Amino acid sequence: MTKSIRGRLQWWYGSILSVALTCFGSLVYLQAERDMRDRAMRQSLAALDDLAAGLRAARPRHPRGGHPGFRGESLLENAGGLPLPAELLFPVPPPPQPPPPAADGESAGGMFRGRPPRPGVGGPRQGPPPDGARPPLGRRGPPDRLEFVIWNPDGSRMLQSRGPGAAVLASLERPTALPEPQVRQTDQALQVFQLGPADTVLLVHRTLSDDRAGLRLFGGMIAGIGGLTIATAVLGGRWIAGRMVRPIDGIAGTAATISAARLDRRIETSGLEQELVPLAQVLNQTFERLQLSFQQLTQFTADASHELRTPLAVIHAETELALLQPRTAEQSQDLPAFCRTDARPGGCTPAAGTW
Amino acid sequence: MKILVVEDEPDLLRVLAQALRESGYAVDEAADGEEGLYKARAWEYDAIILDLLLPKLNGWEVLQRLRQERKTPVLILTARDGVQDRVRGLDSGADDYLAKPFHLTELLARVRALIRRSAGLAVSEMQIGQLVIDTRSRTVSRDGSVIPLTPREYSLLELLALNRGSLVTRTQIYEHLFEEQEESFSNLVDVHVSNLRRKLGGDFITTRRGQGYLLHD
Repeated sequence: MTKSIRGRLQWWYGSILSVALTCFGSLVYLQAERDMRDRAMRQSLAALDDLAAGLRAARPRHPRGGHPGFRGESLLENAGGLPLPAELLFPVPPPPQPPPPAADGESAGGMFRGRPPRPGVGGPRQGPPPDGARPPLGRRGPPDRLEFVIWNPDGSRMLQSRGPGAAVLASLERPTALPEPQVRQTDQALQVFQLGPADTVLLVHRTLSDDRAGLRLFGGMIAGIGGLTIATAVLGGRWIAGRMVRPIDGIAGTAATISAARLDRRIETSGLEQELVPLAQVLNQTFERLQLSFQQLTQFTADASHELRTPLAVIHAETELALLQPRTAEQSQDLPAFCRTDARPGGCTPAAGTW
Repeated sequence: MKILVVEDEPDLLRVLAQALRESGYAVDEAADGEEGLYKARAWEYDAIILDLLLPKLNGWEVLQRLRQERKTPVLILTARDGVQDRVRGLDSGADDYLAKPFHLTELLARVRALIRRSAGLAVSEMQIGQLVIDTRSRTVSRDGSVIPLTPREYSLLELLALNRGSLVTRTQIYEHLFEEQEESFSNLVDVHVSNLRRKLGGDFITTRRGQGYLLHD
């Protein structure tokens, strides 16, 4: 890792922000995915209910046993894939054209259209979306749709919706159904099935590809916005870190000007940030001790110099005095008395002849 | 010529006094600042050699107080050789500054220069009629021939010559010629003047009875 405080601040700042944004974005994405599945499930269950209700309504009224007779053909003709309701997070647009009117009597489309959506669930509806409905974001394929298959008790197919997914529906085996709805789920579709009236088996097939495309786009948007946020924050962090370390440059500048000749200078602490004041105080105390030591050293040198200069001056002067004029031996005897006290012990005597 | 040496180092004081005496000066000694200031105020010296680091009263103080009363030339002789000290010393009223260790001959030359300048002379030779007084070699000559004088006689002649045309009182002569420890008799000056007149000839020296002596050109 870099040794720069500024770089390190940026690194940690960017890392923490990335982790936080990643967690947040992941949570949002997962929540959106769960919402999408829940919505698909609710729509499928509602469609299953509607289908069962429609079958019950279309059942002939003669009480004889055997297979109930349905006006299946008319139901089938109008059940070419049921569009999704408009309140989706990624709304599915209406089919390219409105479904044709029912040929005779009740039809699956008419049946569904006639039932109001249950509160909180939203039943399947047909028809154009409200004005101003936008096309789904990032839609790649055909819109998601609800399709269905109804099996007779003997395993043959009674009805099957017609639509883009007809081929997929045709390949489906009749599942072992129970009175309660059961769910099968793959990445691309959701299937809900249950026992219908008169031991029929009802299955609603809900495609998920369009929702998934929208979800992917949503994930991409989260990632893009997160990346941009991180980049902006790191750049801002660089600027802030630059401002934070600027006082340190100031301290270094002042410290650099403090030399032996200017040891009395100190770092100004009044304008410093709270965190930097202890550093400046420690430095100032160090300079204080340095100045004191330097003064003591200077004083010691001066004292030593003085202590040395005076005896040296005596030796010098007396030597010159001795040479100032011719002297007798007796006169010379008196002269080097200083050597015994000022110079070296026992040295510099006339006998030694060294003075 | 009388010089006061204020120095707390006994050996140096002794050497300085001896060197100055051998050079023909009368020398008074002081071992601390108080004694030095007292003597400098009490007598009229031709020059004062002053140390700075002195017991009782430091050299700066001595100089400052002395300058309130007297203009005696002062040479500071000290171990403090910093430029600041030299500047401070000269600005405080000292006439010269010499740092230890020093050359004795240089010190003596500076003392001569101090005395000469205080008398208003530019060179070391004085001419009085046919007499030439050389203050550097302390000799007197006439027409190139040296007249032998005792140190005391030379000092008396130099004192009169430096104050040429002015009356020099007997007190001044005593103060400038005799050290404090010397026993001086009242007629000692008359003896020296009489000897000078005899050796130099002529009437250079005029006696003002009861006042003092006067040297004419």
